[in-house]
Amino acid sequence: MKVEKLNVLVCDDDPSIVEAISIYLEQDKYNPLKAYNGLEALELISKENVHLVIMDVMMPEMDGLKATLKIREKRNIPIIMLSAKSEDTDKITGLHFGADDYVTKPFNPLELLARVKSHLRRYTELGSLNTNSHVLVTGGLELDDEAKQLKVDGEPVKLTATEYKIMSFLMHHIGQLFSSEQIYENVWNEQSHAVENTVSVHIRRIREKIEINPREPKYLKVVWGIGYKIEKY
Amino acid sequence: MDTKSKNIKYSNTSKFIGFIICVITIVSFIGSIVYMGYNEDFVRHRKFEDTYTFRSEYGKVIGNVLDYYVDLVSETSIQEKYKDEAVIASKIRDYQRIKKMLEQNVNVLFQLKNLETGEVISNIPKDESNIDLESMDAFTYYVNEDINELNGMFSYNGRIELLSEGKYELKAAVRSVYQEGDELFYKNATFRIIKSEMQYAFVIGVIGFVMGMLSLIYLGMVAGRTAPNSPIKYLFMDDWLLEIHVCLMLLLIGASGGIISTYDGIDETYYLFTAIATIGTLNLIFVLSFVLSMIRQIKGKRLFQNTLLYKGSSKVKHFTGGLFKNKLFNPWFFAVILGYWLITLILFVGMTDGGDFGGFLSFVLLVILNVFVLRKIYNFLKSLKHIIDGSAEVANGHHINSLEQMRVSDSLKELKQNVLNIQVGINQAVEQALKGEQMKTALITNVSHDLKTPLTSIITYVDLLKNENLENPKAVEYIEVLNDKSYRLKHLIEDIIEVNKASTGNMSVKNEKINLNELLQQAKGEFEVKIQESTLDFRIQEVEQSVYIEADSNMMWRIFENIFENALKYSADNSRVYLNVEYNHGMCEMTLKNMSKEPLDILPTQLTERFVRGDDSRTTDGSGLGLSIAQSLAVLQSGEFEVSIDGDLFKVNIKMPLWNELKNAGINMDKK
Repeated sequence: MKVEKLNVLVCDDDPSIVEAISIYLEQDKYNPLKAYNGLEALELISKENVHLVIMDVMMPEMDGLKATLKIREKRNIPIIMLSAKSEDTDKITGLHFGADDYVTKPFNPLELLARVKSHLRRYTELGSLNTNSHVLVTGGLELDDEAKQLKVDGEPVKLTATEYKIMSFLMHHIGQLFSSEQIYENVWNEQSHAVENTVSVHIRRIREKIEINPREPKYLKVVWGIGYKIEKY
Repeated sequence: MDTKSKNIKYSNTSKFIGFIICVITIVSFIGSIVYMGYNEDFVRHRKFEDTYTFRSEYGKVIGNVLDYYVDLVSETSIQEKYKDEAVIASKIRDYQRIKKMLEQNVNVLFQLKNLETGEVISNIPKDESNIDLESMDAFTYYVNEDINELNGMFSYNGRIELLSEGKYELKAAVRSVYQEGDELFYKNATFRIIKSEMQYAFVIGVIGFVMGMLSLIYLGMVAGRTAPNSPIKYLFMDDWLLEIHVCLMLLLIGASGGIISTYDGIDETYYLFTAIATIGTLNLIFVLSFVLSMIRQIKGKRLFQNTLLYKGSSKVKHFTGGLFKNKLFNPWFFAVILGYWLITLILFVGMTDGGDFGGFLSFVLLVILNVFVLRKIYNFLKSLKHIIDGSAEVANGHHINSLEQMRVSDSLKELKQNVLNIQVGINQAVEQALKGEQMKTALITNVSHDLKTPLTSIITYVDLLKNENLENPKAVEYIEVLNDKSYRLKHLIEDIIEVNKASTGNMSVKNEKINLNELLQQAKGEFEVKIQESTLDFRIQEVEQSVYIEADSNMMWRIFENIFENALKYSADNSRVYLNVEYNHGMCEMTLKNMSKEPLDILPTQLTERFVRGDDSRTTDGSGLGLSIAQSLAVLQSGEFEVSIDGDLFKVNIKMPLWNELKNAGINMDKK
């Protein structure tokens, strides 16, 4: 199947990082565009048809946050922010400035690539998203009640029957927090036993299937000591 | 030779001998002076007839002659002449006495001629009747009141008046060679003895003076020295204060005088002289030692310092100076107390002696005065209490704003200010320490962030290398090592940043209602794979659904994550890991126990310190920060975290406060 190559702009003041990311992108059949500060990035975006931007925060001339703001004035392309800062407040600031994702250095290149893929799929297939009433959606997560199928960024995920039941229950209450006990009672339809960790084991497995980084889940979130919920996007 | 003579000069023996010589010579000198002074009359006159002794004796005889032959004459003539019986009796007694004395006289020869009758009374013996009075020594011729003085002799005697009527003519003289029998003979003999002794006494006196002066100069020179210009060596009496020393001396001299005065009644001059000489010598010894002591102290330049006056004044100065320096005991304070005493005294006197009105007035004034004084004292004590409370606050590390505005007695203002200053000092020190700690944290965090960017390149390029087709199997192996270590470095940096944040309290803590059962289930679920992959058996105690603790959700997870990781990493193969939960005193106590793989030769407290691990090797994964992070996080949440070791049994004890519905009213995390 012949697919048109997508343009991904990589912007970092460290050339070695730009080079490395470009290599990964080329391996995955993307067309990398290289920039080394915010101004260069803006110039490239105005000239080329850029589909996604990977942007470092701290750069000379124009930093990543300012560049993101400028890009958002004209374009709605996905922007993944790179930063050495891992504080929650830094992440929030990045997202607030218009970034779609935030990856902290040092990152696993495969994880970054997975995120690129995820964002591009959603970006390119935005129009084809299902709007049926029996399909529950949050971010790139779709649950088709009729087909009994869960899709992440359009890709179907293989779930066991119990896992599907749990996801179905949670997807029907997006953003709502449930304790293990409540999930157990609703999914298994019986009283739970205190020590049983059935629910938590299932949830972990689901996370490993649907999340790019299960330790930092995007959709199926753990609230420690309280319960679980599906994040609303 | 020279030094030897000097040594001898300064030796104690020389000094002692010098002292003795000095005493002896001075005593001799004084003795000779006393001798000469005592016998001054004889010493001064070359001829016996010139001495006052002779004259008075001679005059006495002349007087007696006149009394006897001119005035009294006989007992019958007395009775005729005087009327009064008592006078007669007295005159008769005189007559008898004079008669006896005239009978003793052998050396004064006289001729008394009655010019009216021509009768001559003389004591010139018959065999010497040819004697010529006028050619004899001390011839005296008396007529009327004109006194013919021959040889410059004069001997006044009141009885000469008896010749005023011009009836008698008296010629008198002494023998050239004194005959034994009367006073004049003995006096003359004494005179001659003294005249012969006199020169010796004079020589002794002069020698005594010269020797005494010389030995005194010598003693003065060597006093206190053991060698020329040596430091002064003091004797015991040098430590006596000057005033006491002087008093002692005066006392001794006074006592000596007293003792000598008791000899007053004793006629024996010999005893008197012996007593005076002995006591005088003792006094001299004492005075001499005093003088030498003074010399030593003057040489040592401490004479003035060694006085009661100086010591006393310096002590008083020190004492009063110390008191007056502080405002509490300024001169006013004493003035006020004195004034209070004085006024009270006056008022008491007024109360007793002031009559009805004065007494009542004094009483009222006394009451007013004491109410005033008591008020002052009350204020003083109140101020003191404020300051004590304030200083206690400072000691406990609290801030005291209240003391600043508090009004205190004037005398305690300084104390108050000092307490406030101490607080300022403490605050500054704490601030500085805090600032330093913050700077350190910032530095570590910044450095860690700076490490991240190059590490990103390392990780990505190692990954790229892995994807290259490498034919050399060793290269593949090396790349794998690089991959592992670069990820370990990543974890290490992340942990450093986290422990830094946690240990400095640079984290916001949320107070959440955490269901312990849920947390334990979630944790076990997360670790399910790892537990199954290990040979360990995790035994987690069943916890009731209704147990809630007050904690920060994410922090609690990090704590459990770390202690589970720790147990997985360091437990002995095929051993059991226990997690028990207990509740007491509003706290939930969770204890994790596992058997260590390696012997733990380490203090439990060290395990929670940063970068410390049970094993000394640093090759295994883990940053060594896990327990330290967990402890910091527990403390941040007002919990406790304790590690203990019992042989190979490793125990982690975590205490977290149980959820208190009353305390956290309004916060409800349960969204049921």
